[in-house]
Amino acid sequence: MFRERRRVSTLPNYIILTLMAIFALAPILLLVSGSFKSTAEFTISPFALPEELLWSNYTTAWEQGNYATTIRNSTILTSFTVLFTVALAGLAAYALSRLNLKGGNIISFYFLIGTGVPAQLFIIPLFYIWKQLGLINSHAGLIIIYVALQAPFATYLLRSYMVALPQDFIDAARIDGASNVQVLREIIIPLSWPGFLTAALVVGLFTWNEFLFAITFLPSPDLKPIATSLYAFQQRFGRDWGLTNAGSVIMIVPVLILFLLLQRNFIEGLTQGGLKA
Amino acid sequence: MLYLILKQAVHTSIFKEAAVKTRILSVMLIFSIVLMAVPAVGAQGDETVITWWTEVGTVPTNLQEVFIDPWNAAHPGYRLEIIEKEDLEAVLRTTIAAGEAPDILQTAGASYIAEFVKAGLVQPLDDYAEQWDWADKLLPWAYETGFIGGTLYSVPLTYESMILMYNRTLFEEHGWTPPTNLEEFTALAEAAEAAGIHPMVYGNANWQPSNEQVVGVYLNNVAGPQNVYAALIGEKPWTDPEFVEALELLQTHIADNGWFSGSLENYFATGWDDYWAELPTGEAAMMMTGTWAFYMTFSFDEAGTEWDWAPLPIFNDRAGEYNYELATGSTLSINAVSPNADVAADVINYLLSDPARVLELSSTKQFGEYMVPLHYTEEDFPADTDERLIRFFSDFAEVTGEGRFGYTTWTFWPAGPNVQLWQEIELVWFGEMSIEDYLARHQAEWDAARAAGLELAVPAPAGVE
Amino acid sequence: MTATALQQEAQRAKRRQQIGGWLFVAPVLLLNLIVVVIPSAIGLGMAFTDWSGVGSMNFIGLANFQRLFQDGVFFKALTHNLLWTAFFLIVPVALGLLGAYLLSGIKRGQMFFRVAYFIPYVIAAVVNTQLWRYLLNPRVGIGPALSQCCGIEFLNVPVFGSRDLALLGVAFVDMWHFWGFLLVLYLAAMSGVDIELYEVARLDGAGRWAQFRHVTLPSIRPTLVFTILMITIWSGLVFDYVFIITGGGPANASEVMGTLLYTTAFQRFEAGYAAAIGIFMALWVAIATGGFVLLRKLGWEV
Repeated sequence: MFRERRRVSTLPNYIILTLMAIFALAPILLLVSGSFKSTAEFTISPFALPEELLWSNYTTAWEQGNYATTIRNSTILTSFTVLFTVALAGLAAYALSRLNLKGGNIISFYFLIGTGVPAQLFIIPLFYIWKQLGLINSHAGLIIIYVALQAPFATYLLRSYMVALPQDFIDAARIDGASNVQVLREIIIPLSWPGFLTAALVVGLFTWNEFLFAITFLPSPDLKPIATSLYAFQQRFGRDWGLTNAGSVIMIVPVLILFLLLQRNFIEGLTQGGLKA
Repeated sequence: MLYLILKQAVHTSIFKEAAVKTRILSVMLIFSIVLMAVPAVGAQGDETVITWWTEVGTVPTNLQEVFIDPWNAAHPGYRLEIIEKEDLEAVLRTTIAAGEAPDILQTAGASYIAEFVKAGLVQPLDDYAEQWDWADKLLPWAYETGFIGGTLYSVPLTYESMILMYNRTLFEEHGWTPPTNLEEFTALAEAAEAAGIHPMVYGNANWQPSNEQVVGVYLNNVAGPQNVYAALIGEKPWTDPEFVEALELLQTHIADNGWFSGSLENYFATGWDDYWAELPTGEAAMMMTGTWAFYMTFSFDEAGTEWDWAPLPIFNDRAGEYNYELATGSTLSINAVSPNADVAADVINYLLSDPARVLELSSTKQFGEYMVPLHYTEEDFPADTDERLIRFFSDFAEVTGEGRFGYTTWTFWPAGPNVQLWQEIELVWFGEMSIEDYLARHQAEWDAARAAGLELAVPAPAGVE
Repeated sequence: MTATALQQEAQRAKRRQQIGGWLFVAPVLLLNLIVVVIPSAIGLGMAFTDWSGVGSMNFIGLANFQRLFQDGVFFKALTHNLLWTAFFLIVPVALGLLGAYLLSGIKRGQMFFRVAYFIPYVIAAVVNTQLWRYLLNPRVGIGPALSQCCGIEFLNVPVFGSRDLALLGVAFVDMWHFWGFLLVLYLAAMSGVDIELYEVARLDGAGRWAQFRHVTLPSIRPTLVFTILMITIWSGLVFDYVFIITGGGPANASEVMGTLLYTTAFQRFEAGYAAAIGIFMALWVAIATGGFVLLRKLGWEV
């Protein structure tokens, strides 16, 4: 009888959850459905399903937006940024969570608020410094900036995760004479794997979607990232909704696929880390 | 020993996540394949590169064949690179102080150049102008707008004006004709409203400063160009009754009557795509807009209607006969630290030297962009040019040649007063600020700009000494 | 080995650990110093000058701050940041908690739902803003569509053109993309709650609300406080959604400190004055974090 009551009582859960899912997904479905329409059809019936799938929007958008180049560039920027950020943040998080650093708490807080400076405030001096260092107009120069911007928050995330790991494992390893590097490699990293994934996803999303630093630090058109393709689109074809929607979909599909592939581990990463300070 | 057991345990738990690893490995594999496909950035030969950053979306589709390739062919050893830059204005300001900006600087208008001149970031062009007779090549008023403190610092890349664009099909159906004065305008607007049509469509959802275009029209066409001129050169305060009257009329039209897009709220929520849906379909009858709008007239073809344009109606007798507002769009200057200033100047001269080539470029944008203010004759226009476009450019040349012109804010207002003009007018429209206060603050901004030496050159209209 | 030797050995090991630890933190610290801290310090220093953004500058002391304290638009923007914070602390947090609580009570389909809720978060601001600008368009958006088909009028208004609705409208769009992220965080925290606590509560006759109030909420407090801190910080810095959708208009109705800083620096060419606004944004973050540290000092486990 108890069981019976419980089954009945989950029905309202499903109703509300479904409404919430519609709220989250319906606009995106409209975007995708609109990407297959001609401008004329879009104007007449923006909310209906497309009468036929106009794939030509995608081929046109692909060429006009120069996506072949920009996707390549964004892939380079994103993969290297994620790699370096997660590696450096992992090191820092390990030290902050496990090595009882003096002043470690202050640094953790500094890392938490380190992202709290508006970019418009420091971009001009930063550009000047980057010019002196010869780092302008190269992916490497921009990757360094991205890593510096993202590593503090990633460190904070990973630290929360590592704090929650059982101390027994590490103590035991230490008694057996394991060095810092060994502890990190053999215990911490394998156990906080989902935490690393979570940090990688957050950093990757930021880098993939970033616009302001990219247009400032990469003058050469061969180096532009994907956000500039969409910008150019909105400038040139703002009125051609089908085409602009297709351009948007091209931009979001790669991150969506990656997210769907990794989401189980990502969400487990949040679960186990619990994001505790 | 314990360590080893733990290590074993940890590894086992990883193997449970073998599926994760495979997925991550495949993702990394894709990355590395993409990375390998990246060609090495090689040397570009020993040509000297001349760079020019331009705005995204404004570039003629035939720029490479009609301009860049011929210039390169004529200048061995040099290569011209015109690069489309996103958010050009902000990027230029970030990069120029570090000396990383291009040889040819394109800015959004004369008021931007004043800042750069003050900071010593652009070169005087007087010698080049003399060497190549730019004063004769450019329309005189447009040439004048490049002067700051008696020195030439920029030449206009394009020129524009404000017009009244309308749906001709709709006008013919209702037997309307384009209004030329306030009574006709009012009658037409009321007739349109009675027929359930928005008298005009316009808004600033895409480009907040669009307000300035509307304010400029009312200042010119109510107070009259002579009064605006007097205020621009500092001989008449902006607080005078003619300007108050201008803004009162605008207040009636835009806020009380909602003649722009149906209501003031709609004006703020209306963007470019809305104009080009409402006007061609006849949901709206007219639009006060700039000549850059010519580029979008293909929207009428899609809707199966016809468009036309007329000079803006004159709202007060003191403004005289109809006129055209003078405006330059983007401007070109030369970077003060450019090592190839002479060659960069040659690029600019190349642009100023052949009206037919400019028209061939600009025709791909329906003469809304890259329309360098040169002396054109009707024969210079490509054979298939729309009659309505030629009509505009001939009439513009004739009328402004007689000194019948008004002033656009983005060409003749310094940055401070200009921004105040389009930002705080919203407070006036919503009734949060009185017109008198607004104009007093406008005058204060002007005083500050004058004190800082940021005034721009202003040509005198007919009837002024 | 003698006791002293052992002690020395232990101390040496400790020192080694400290040095090793700092070596691990150094790369992140150093990078952040070069890219953010030093340029920001230079940028903030501009607040005491009349710098236009290019060219020379003069030291003008506190004149920019005097002006700031008399600037009605700045206070309007600051108020909007506070309203924005309030909105984000209420609406997405409530939605996130509700969704996470309901989701933790079901088994089948949990995966689908949490993925669905998270998807808007992975989409770029440029795409989201364009999408919603269309959906809330007064001519062709959902408003007029609902009005035509079903006579529902409340959405049939120009949201982004209205003084009363513009800020709320932009906040709504930003919230739409953000609440799923919160939900997943809360769900993660809730899945760590001991089931027995619920059993005990149920035996005590607690209903759903009482269980949520007395078991769930206290158990996820660290996560909740963390998200509250992050929301407060981000609300002080909000820029992109407002800038893209309304640019702060109409008539400053949606102006926030971030958009005001941008227009001041890049349209009015007053980089010095803009830096003074920037100092206030940094101050906002400092105050929020200070509150967080205080809570911790008071013994909250956050």
